[in-house]
Amino acid sequence: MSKKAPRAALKLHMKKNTNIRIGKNADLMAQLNILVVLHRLAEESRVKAFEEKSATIKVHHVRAVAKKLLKSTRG
Amino acid sequence: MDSTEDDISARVLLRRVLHTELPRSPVTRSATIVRRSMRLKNTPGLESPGSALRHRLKKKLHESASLSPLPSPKRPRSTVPNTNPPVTVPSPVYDEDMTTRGLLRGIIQMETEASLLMSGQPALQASEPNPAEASMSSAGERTEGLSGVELSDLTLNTEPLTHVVRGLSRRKLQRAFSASAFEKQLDQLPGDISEEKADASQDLDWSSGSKSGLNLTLKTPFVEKRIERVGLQRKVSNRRLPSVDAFDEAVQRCLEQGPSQDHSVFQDGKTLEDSSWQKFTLCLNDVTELYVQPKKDDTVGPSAEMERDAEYEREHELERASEIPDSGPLIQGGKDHELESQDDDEEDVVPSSQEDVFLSPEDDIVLAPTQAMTESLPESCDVELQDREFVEEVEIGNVVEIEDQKVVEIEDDSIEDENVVEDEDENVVEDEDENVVEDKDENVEEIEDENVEEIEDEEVEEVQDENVEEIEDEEVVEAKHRTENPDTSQYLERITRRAHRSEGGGSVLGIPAATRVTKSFGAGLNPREKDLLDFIDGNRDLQDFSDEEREPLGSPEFPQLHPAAELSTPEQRSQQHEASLAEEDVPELEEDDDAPEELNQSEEEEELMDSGSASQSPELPQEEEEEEEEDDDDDALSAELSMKTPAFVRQKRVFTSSIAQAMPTVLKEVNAGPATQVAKRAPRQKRQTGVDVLPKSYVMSMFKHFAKTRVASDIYPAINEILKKYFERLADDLEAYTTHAKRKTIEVEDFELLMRRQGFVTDSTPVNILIEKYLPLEYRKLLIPVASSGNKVIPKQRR
Repeated sequence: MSKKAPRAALKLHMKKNTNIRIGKNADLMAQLNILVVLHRLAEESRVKAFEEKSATIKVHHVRAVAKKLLKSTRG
Repeated sequence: MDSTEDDISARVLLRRVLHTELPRSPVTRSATIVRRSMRLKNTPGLESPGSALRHRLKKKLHESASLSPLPSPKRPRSTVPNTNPPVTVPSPVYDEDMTTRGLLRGIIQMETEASLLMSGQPALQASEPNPAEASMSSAGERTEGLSGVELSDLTLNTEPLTHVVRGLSRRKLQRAFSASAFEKQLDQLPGDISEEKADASQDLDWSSGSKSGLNLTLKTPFVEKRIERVGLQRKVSNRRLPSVDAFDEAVQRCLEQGPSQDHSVFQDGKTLEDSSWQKFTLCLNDVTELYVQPKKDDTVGPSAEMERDAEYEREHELERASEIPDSGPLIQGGKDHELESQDDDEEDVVPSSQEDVFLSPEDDIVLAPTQAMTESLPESCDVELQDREFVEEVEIGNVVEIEDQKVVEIEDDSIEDENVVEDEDENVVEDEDENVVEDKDENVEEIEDENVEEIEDEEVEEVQDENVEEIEDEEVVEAKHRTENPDTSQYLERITRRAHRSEGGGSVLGIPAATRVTKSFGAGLNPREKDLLDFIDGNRDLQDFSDEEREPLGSPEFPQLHPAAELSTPEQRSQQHEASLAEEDVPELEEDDDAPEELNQSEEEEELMDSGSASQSPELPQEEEEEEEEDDDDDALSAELSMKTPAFVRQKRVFTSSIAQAMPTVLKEVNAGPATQVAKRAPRQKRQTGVDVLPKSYVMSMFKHFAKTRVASDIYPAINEILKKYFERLADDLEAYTTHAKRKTIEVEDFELLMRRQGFVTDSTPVNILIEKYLPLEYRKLLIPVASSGNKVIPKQRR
């Protein structure tokens, strides 16, 4: 889906704790990053949901995957 | 060594087999399985029964296999890890094929082959007959016999063995191992043996040559799969969620028990209803109580103490009566409130709208129980709550008035209201509220400005407490309060009644009272609201708190509350029906002066009821206003509560709070400024803090798109949490990268580094690819330099 990425919200998030500044298009990259991560999250959740033979992705699927994912995308 | 051992064992087994076993269908899977297991386990000659069986099977297979040009027997025997290539055995076996060992080897090899390759039937057939022939011819009858018999035996044996083996070692691989070879054997066998036995048991294995083999092979894997699948199959937990019906029933039961249990505390909507009803009853009895106890626990009120006694009696009476008609009047009450709210729009429409909604349901609930009195009172309370500014002031005034005029007014009101109230519970409540308000107004004007102010302050506090309590929906507390503050409630009731009746008068009186009250209450209200807010959080403590408050506030506040409540309510009403209020206020004032504070609850109730019924319409708007105020205030105070609690409960709270606000109307009014501000501030602040992640629509759409399957909608909060954590980490990392680069701003390259570290970007997947993949076009352009005509690159590159 090509939707509008909420750049302002992203910027807000990124600047929450720090005083560091965000470059010009860096928030776009952030958007990209988020998308990629979300994509991965969705994939993993989908797999997990399949494991339980459910066609719908439910919350516990996502939660179970999240921890592992957060660890992996640590950089 | 292994082989020799195996051979020995195999030979032994074979002998055993030959001697003991009946000719059976050709080697079955079990044989192969046995073989495999043997192989895998390196079981040289030792034999546990299973292994022995396996060995036997193997041997049989070997024998049968030996007939066919199969790979070396050694392979299968010597626990060779690769059991798979059934026919890969080197040729040295051939020599051995002639021997029993060789035969066994062949059998085993064949078996594996057969079991492994399901499709190997033709091969098997070809191989089997060949080896069989060969074996027969070469090995002689014995072999032939063996082969044939063995084959059959094997098959026969294998069947049970297969089962046995299966039990021992269910390994798909093993079984499927030499499917081809096995099948071949099977095919041969049927040719050889089918006539012999095949039919009975062998049919299972091989109905017709190849088929038998197939069957065998098919069976085991099939079984295996089934078994395996069974293991894998995990039934979703058969939780039985409680049926909705059962739940509803339980709820209703609670509701029914509610009124009698009001003190028991639940804060469910149901209990709230009940308690609210009770509260109303209390309120009805004591006007002050109404204000005091609006939903919360009604009677925080200072005036409660004094009124408590009187009201208590009333309340009980009302409560009993109220339970039945609860539903009806409540609804009506709600409507009334709505009407009032509409009218009150003039006053404080904005915030009240929400409150009204809340109030209406609450009113409905509350009204239901007692007759109009309760309804009217709570309505008035609610309305007052909504319009804090006015209500508070009015209430204060009313309280004062109530004290003086209680007896008289109530009586008068009761007369009038009785008739009407009985019919229209709503009206009563409203009237009562109005009366209260009016009374307040009257009292304020007439009695003493100073007192009013003082009262207002106290009332405000009380009201606030009450409101808080209401908001928190501590019915129990409220109920208790009510009982405790019968007097106050009674007075409140009277006041409301008066207010209802003479809305105009009340309004008139209310306004000035309100003004006066505002001054004094301003200070009182603010702390009040804080208290209220605190109350919201500490529902539990309401009871205690209210009680405590009531006590200290009690006597001194009582009169104050009343006038305050009256003031507040009348003010509210005044907005709508100044004339009516004025009228009512005047008589109320007079009455208040005369009537002792403590009246029979019944009287008060009656009066309230009457008054309520009499001037329902005018009161309604007032009440609505009050409610609105209350709502506004409640909303502000109970913003959290409302957010947390269902609308139903909220409404109840509002209702009760409105009632209580009859007292605290003054508070409201006083805090009109601060109150409204608070009301507005609270929700806004909450909203901001609560939402800080990406918009739900965007996230969900992305997720759904990526997921490609249906996604539960309640997943969003979980995703939010995850994203939040991720964001934090992301920010930290980026900052680290930037600092490392001795820069002060996070740049694109920092992100690239991040993605690389995350593994999203590798040497083979440049970032740009990702960019194109995910981002919409306009963004892509910004990120990726694109060469356009005229030797321009977009975006501008700084080289």
